[in-house]
Amino acid sequence: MKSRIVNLAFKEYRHIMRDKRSLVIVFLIPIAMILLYGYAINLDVKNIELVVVDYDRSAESRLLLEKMLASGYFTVTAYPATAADANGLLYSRKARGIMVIPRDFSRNLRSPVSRATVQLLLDGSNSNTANIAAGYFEMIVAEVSGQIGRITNAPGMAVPFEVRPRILYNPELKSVNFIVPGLAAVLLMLICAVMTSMTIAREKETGTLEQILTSPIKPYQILVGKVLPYLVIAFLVCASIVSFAHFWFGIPVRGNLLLLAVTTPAYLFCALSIGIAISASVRTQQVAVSLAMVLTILPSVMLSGFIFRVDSMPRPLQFISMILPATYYLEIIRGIMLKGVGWEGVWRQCAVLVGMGLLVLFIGIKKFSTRLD
Amino acid sequence: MNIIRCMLRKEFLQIFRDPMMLRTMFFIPLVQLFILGYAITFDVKNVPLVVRDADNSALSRHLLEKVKMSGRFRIVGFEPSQERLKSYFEDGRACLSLAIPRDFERNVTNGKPPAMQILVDGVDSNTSLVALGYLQRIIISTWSELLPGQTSGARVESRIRVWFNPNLESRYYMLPGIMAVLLTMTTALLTSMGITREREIGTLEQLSVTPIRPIQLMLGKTLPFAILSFGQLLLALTVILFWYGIPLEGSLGLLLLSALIFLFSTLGVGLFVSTICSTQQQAVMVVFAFIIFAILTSGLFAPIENMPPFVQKLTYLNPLRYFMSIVRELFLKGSGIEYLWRDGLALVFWGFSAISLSTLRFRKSIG
Repeated sequence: MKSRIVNLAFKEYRHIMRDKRSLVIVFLIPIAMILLYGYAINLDVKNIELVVVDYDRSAESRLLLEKMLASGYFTVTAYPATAADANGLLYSRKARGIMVIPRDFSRNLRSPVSRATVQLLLDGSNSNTANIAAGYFEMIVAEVSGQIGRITNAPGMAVPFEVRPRILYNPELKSVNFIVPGLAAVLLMLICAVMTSMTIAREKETGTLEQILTSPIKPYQILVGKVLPYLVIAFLVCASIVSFAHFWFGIPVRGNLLLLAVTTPAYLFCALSIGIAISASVRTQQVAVSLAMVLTILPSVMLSGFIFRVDSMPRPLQFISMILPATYYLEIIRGIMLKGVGWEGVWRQCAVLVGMGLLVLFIGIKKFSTRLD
Repeated sequence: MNIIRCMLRKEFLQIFRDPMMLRTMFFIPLVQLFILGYAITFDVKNVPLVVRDADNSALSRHLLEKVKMSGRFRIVGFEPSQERLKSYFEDGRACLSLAIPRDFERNVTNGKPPAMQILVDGVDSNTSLVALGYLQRIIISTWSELLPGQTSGARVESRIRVWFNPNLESRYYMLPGIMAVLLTMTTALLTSMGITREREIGTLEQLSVTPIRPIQLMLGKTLPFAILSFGQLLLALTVILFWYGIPLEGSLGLLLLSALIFLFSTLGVGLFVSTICSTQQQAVMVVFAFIIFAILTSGLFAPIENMPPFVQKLTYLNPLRYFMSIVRELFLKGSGIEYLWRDGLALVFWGFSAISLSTLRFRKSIG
């Protein structure tokens, strides 16, 4: 009985190995995705391109500009003479914002009664960049304001209190530390759910499943045999993600890798169960893929907190997020890699994953056997 | 011509016979639009915050009230012990902590600067940065309310005005982008699978011994998806305009025209993939790889300017990049053709090359 499963697993293994293209795809896609995600999803806001209209052209306005440039958050692409010239640059995407220093800037600064103003026009189409840019701008202006106050010997903005932010776990606030470990959740789901659902649907489509069924192999043995090779592949992919993250992107591994290796199978089990359940309810690969994409990949990318915060979503979506395996695995892998949490921080997530996996598997096997009889 | 019409009829029959297929074409994209429209957001709301209020004075409570009122934060707990604050971060119960020292109110009334400590979970760098900014702004504004004399000493006032999306809602930016992605996905995926499926079950050979010429076969296989995906686009547009109420600032004609040009690229990709793959499984994986590359380098999630220079160069190879920026500029800025013709030209070039290259290959792989 054991050997039947092993034989089937070998058959599936040969299927995968014989099909060189699939094999290459299975291993190349994860690596390409790690590189792509690592480099392309960079949410760090730096070098925001500004055009500056400096009507004042005074020592003070230049000091402000210098501070802006020195911060590294802004770069200046042009110094047009009037604001009217600058507006077109926002449309042609040559700049993200226009900073206007009015003519009376330095005069107002020196006068004890009036206040100087600086204007920033932001291209808000990318709300996130604009939001962060606005924050940086206010910070820099406040800082310069205090400095200029001291220079001109007028009372500057006395910082009335101290706020001391300390950033934990990711002090440089690099978004790559957030994205790349999270990618494991998506890629493992891709391999386990999509590939397994397709491989079973394929046997149905080509009619070979019936041939296997006429042999004395039991349905559950077929399932186990078919998914075993993918389990191994998924595990290898996970290992390569972690090594890539650490050695290529320099992402720290603060926790215990053994703990990660022990907890990952819980997620794989859950993902494979989903793949089986999907394949049990469809007839063609085309449909299997569409279903797997919609039920697993898309939600895992969009609703699990992989990139987008779950807390900002409306309630119903937060609920969906709670029943997604990826949500829990993200907590596990980020917790172990970035925060260095131990068993006490991940056992709950593991329990949920195993529970979900069992439930889905139960449904899947039920459907599978009734369909086949 | 007649042959193509027959092919089209066969294809449409096949598509409409398979209810799953229609669902994939129309129902699923709709659901995605509804869900993703709400899910894909960089807005920072309801950030879990844990408070350590050692002062517990009227002033500290006033400050916390302000924090709560802002709607940006959700206070998940009051933790008296500094040591245990960290456990909130470890299991993800809180993203931020605010510690108010014991002598807070006394120091303020005496004019001494009190110190507040904020701990930030930096794992999600983007959220941390935005949330920290919000928290600091709330503290500053509470402060200037209490002591109106203090901040008027600020020498320079920053006035920030936001154009095109004054409320900084990420939905206005993301939804048009999602529409572009949906269009890419369905056309490339379904075209490539439609052809490889015939190959896999052997009917492509049957078709190739009929008097249908490869070019007619190709047209017959791609046109239905082109028509259906255009319908899908219109559906998506309706949802965006009327359900989400996101205004289209630019011209609808220009949008549809560029979508039409863009379809050549995605259909070309689908065709090309079908010529290099023998099974649907392979086709799906290849198309997936293309779509992931296309989505990531299109600037949908993260701005292209943030990418390292060589990845930025890579984005020029991506047809979705051009379509994405056309769609977004049209929706948000209402830019005219004078700002968009470069992207349009790139799309024409891409579409033309993709279609001619894949047609050549397709003829060879059939003939």
